[in-house]
This record gives sequence, structure tokens and C-alpha cells, in this order.
Amino acid sequence: MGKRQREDDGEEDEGEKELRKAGAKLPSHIKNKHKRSEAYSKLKHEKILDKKKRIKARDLAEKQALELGEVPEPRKIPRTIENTREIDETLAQPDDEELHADNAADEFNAHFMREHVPKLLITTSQACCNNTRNFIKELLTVIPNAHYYKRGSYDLKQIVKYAKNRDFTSMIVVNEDRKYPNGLLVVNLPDGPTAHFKLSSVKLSKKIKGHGRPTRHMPELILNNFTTRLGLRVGRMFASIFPQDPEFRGRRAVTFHNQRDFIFFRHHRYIFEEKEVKGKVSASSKDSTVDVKKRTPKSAVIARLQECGPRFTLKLQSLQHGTFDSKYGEYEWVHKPDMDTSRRRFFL
Amino acid sequence: MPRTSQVELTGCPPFRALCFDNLGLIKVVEAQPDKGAPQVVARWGHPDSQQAAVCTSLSGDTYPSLALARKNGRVEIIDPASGAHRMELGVPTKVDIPNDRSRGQEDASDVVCGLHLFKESSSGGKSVLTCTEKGVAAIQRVPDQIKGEATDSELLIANWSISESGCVLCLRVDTTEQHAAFGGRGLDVNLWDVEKCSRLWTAKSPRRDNLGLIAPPYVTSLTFLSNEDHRKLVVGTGHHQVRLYDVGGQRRPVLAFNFGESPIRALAADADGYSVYVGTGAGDLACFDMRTGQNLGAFKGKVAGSIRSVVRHPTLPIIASCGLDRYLRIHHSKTRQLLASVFLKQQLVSMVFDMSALPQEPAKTDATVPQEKSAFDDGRDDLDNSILHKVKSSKERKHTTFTESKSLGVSKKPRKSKSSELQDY
Repeated sequence: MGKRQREDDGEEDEGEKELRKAGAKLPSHIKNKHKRSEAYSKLKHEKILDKKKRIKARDLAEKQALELGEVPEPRKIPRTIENTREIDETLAQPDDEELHADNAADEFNAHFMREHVPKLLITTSQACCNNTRNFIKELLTVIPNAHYYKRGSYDLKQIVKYAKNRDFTSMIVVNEDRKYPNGLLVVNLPDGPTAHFKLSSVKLSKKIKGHGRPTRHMPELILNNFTTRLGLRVGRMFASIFPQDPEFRGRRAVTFHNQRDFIFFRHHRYIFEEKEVKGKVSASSKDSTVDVKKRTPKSAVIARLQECGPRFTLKLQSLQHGTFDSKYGEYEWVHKPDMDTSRRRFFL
Repeated sequence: MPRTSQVELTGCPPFRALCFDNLGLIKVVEAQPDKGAPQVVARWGHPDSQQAAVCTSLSGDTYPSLALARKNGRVEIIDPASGAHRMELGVPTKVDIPNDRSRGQEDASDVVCGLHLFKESSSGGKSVLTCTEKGVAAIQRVPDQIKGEATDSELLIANWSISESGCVLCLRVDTTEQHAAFGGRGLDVNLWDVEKCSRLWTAKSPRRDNLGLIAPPYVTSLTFLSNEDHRKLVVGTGHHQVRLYDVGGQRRPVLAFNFGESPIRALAADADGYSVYVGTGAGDLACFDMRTGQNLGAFKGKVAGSIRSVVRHPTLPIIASCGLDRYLRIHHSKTRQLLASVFLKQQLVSMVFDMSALPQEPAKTDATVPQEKSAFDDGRDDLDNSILHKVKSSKERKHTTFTESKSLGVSKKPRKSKSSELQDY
């Protein structure tokens, strides 16, 4: 027996082990592809049925337990990478007065105290291509009070100075590589900080199936899972790009969702619809005259989402103290390769 | 089964450290001999961004005081053991010239950039040396509490200007407290006699590079290489270069090398007289041998942001670093392993080791303390031996050169051949 085959045998799952015990041939050992796929699909189907059965049995047991007034057996929680995350002492505690004092003293406080209205400057790396331009066009529809400026041949430091003089409160630079946008530099003005993100999985609204066109209402902002001290700072930075007063009439929502240090950006419109729902017919009163009334459609409120786009994913590379300065700048946080020694360690 | 818990860090020897942050808080971190990981045992002050710490200095005598310069331009003298506020001073931002009333205006925009608290002199009373960014240095007498208020002009001992142009960024005073070195942006390293307030030596900018350009001077950190000798100066620049100046020899650097790609932010010299710990703005921390300019190794683990302060413990083989990533880290200075790290919530500006009040139970007799220390020292020796053994087994030739260079004792005299080689730099 070859080494590889032995290793494969070691990776048998429970179903396969059971099959082997029962003396049946494993689908992977069938040589005819047609028969193999048939056997496999059969096995898969059986597994699904089995799972449905188990869930039904569990639900029934729970229901019975509740009826009897007992405490039902607690449901098993699947082990995921998130809930087996490494212990992190930097997690922000809501009752930490030092944290609030630090937040009150930081660069974003003026925004949260409503001292100014956010004004954003968007520009690109030098000599940008159409993909980047289209991406920026969509960004302009998402972020209110955003202004696109051609990059020209100016230095970023010059542009930062220019933006400061014109009361911009933040600045985004979209970097591109091989004709596709690949990086996002977010600079908070006038004192920083500067965050550098890797930009990936860009999907413009044209490519999103059933996408909607955003209105000009101020969007709501949803920031998910920015829990550590660094995450909180990055979250506050995103919040300071958007105005503080959403217009709920517009039903627009912009989401920055952090999951395992990847920040997913989504832009939606939501709607609460009254929809007719067929009432369930109970078995006992099937042919009585009362059920005519019951069969009349009920109306229920259903929430629906429509994505407006664009969609993209960000990953934090560095957070710099102060505005952009690649030569003499100081970093508050830099991603380093020796941080990636565990899959269960997250920083945001 | 995946690993779901963190790796336990090896414990560190007992120490007591004070950390200063950008909200003006002082946090006392202590590692107890029996409790393992260091913890924050006290927090002094109220969070206020106007009170942010700028620089600190601990006087080196038996009952030390701590001087702390704040962002609002005041210098506080604090008791490091209890945190009691002893005295507060203003910082002169103009140069007083006796017969000239027209010149010199107090400048509110000027910020303190360097501070040194002198030991108690024989005549009684302490004094403090301050320097502002615009280059006004001043020595002030620290008044006794009993005598009450005195005007700032009465306390002033000496006041002079370091430079008319340029921005001073760092100040360091040697162990004899007779010489002070200054450096900054647009101001190359200067060595001053503190008593006479006269300039002894100025560095000359390095030669032109292959493009015929001269980088403007940008000194971000300074330290004296050894405790005995004020003539060896190690300088970190904003152009990510570490330089060794020999004041007795020449005005250009004896040795210079690059480290990383971001400006050097913190320097600390080891007690052995040749190794130097270098921290940068991108969170790199490494140890260098200043006899050869060789990188002895990097300190890894939990270093994520700019390092604002590196301090070597006076007796134990540990170094502490802190900075913008809000962590205080303790590394072993020889094995370079991370011994402990404490999350201190705020962006840290500087830290000092407090030797006066070592964390120990008052009931303990003096005999127990040295025993513990020696136990740790033994452990360190074991570690050192194991390292040496590794080197020996893998590269025997390298090991022999290592011992040779060690036996030379270059800390007192630089090797002549080396310096002559490097003069062309």
C-alpha cells in the first residue's frame, strides 16, 4: 500500500467508517465514474435525510420537555474559528472609563461631538485606469459629501496639505495594481491617523444580480464586530467618514462587517412590506364552515433587502500615527508576518 | 484539536516600572516574585489629554525623585514610591540676557522636548535641566517644599540657547552629570558642558552620498555608550541610521549603519559597554554590537507599533520597551525572548525602572532578596551557556571570533585599525 493511500484511509469520516464496518464498498473505491457518482449521491442524500431526522427528533424532545415543564437539553454549539479565538486582553470593555477618556481625547472626537460635517476627498494613485474610476464612481454614490479630485502628478503629502486647507475631514486614496484597484488608504484630517487597507473582491453594482440604485438620502451606518482597542479605533475611523444623521426615510444602510480581521463592505436598501400570507389550516376544522374565514389571506410584515453595491473586502495592513508619511512616519500598528503564527488570533 | 489557549509566557524576575502615557496617567507595573506575570498595581492621576507626558527623568541617587514634563509645559517632581506630588515648575522658553530687556519673549507654542533631573548636589537641593524644541536650555533649582513659593527667575541657575534654527528633539546627560548631548531636526549632535554652559563639541555632517547629496541632520534619539565614558555617543537618526561618534577622535561618525526603513525612535545602551538596543517607528527592536555594527538579533513577540522608549534594567538582564501599541514588553536582554507583556490601554510615551521600591514583602529579610536574584542569574547563565553551546556546535569558527572580540575590551578604546578604516566613511 502506498503512503498516500494509507493517509487517505486515515481521513475517513464517520459515514465511511460505518460503511466499512457494514462491509459495503466505499464510493471512492468504485472505479466506474458513473457508478461512483451515483453511489456517492445516494450516500449524500441519506446523510441529509438522517440529519433532518435528527433535527426533528431534537425539536420534538425540546417541545415535550417544555410541555412537561422541564429544561430542554442545551443545544450543541459548533466549534468555529471565531468562538475558539485566542484570548485577547485588548478587548474593549464598555464600562472602562479610561477607554472613554481616551476616545474623548482622540482625533475623531470632533466628529462625534458634531463639530463639523464630514467632507471626503477621493483620489487615486498616479495614472489610474478605468476599473479604478468605475470603483470611485460607485464610492461617490455611497458616501455623502465626497469629492473626486484627479491625482495628477502631485505628491500625497501635497494633497494632504491641500485637503487640510479646504476643510476636508478625511481623504481616501485608491491604489491600483495591474489595472485593478488593490489598496485603500484612508487618511483622517487634519491630524491623522492613516490606515492602509488591502482591497480585494471588488464587485461593482453592475455585476450584482438584482441590484438597486441608491438614492441620495443619508445612509445608516452599521459597524459590526470591531471589538478590540485597535478595532474600535478603525471602526471610529470608518464612522467619521459618514455623516452622523441618517435619513431613515431613505432606508439605505452601509455595513462594515468585521469577521476574522477581514472587513466586508456592503450597501443595501431595505424595505418592510406587508405581504399576504396564507393562514395555516388546522386538521380538526377542515370541512367546517368556519374555515372559510380562516382561509382568507393574512397580512404580515416582511423585511426585504436589496443590495445596491459596490461590494468589497478590506484587510488592515497598517495604522499610522499622524497623516501620511511613509518616510518619517510612526506606526500605531503594523501587520507583521510573525503575527500570523496562529489561525485563531485576530486583531480587530 | 486546535490550540485554543495562549502560550504561557515564561515569568520574569521581580521589578517595578512606571509607565507614562498620552493621557497623563502614570501606571505602576510590578512583577512580584511569587505572583508570576507583572500587573498594574497603581494608577496615578486623572485622564486629561492636556496633561499628556512628554518626557521623564529619574534621578540616580539613593532616594530618587522623578521629573515628569507634561504637554502643558509644566514639570512635576514626583515621589516614585508613592506618587506624591512634590513640586511643580515652569519651563523657561526664552533666553535671559542680563543687559538686554528687548530680546526674548516667552513663547507659548514652544514645547519641552528633553528633561534631566540631577542628583542631589553637595550644597543641597536638586536641579533640573530642561530643553524646549526651539532650543532654549535651562537649569533650574528645585525648591524645597518648606520654603514655599519662589519666583521662576529666582530658581533659574543657568539659561542658554542651543541653536537658533532647527528643532531640538532629544537630550541626554551622562552618568557624571557634567556633559549633556542635544540633537534634533536640523541640528546635529552637540555636546555641552553643563556647568560652564559652553559647547564642547559638534558633529560634522556625513560626507556626500553617491548622488552628491547631504541628508539634513535629523537626530531622533541619543545615548552614551558606556557609563564610564562620556566620549562615545550613539545616535539614532530619522534616516533610519545608527551612528557612533567618538568625541575624542573626530567629528564624523566612527561607525554608521542602517537599520530598517523607518526612523529610529529609541536607543538604550547596555551596561556591558558595547551593545545597544534600537527601536524604530515601525516596531522593530534589535540589539547591535557597536564594536562591529553587527546586528546581534531582533526582539520579537507582541511588537506591533512604534517604540517610544527602550530601557535596560540597571541590574537584571531585562529590557523593557513601550510605545504606540499600548503594550509594555519585557524581554530578556541576552536570549531576546519575550518574558512578559502588559496591556496598558493608552499610547505610552516613556517608562522608567524604579529601583528604590522593589516589589517585596516588607517582612522579608534582606538575605532572601539576593538569593532570589542569584537564582535568576543562575538561570540566565544556564541560558547563556546553552546559547554558547549551540554556537559552538554549529559554527565553531564564529564562536572563537566572538570570544576574541569579547576579550579585547573595546569599550574603553576603539580598535585603531577599525577606526582608520572607517574614517573614509
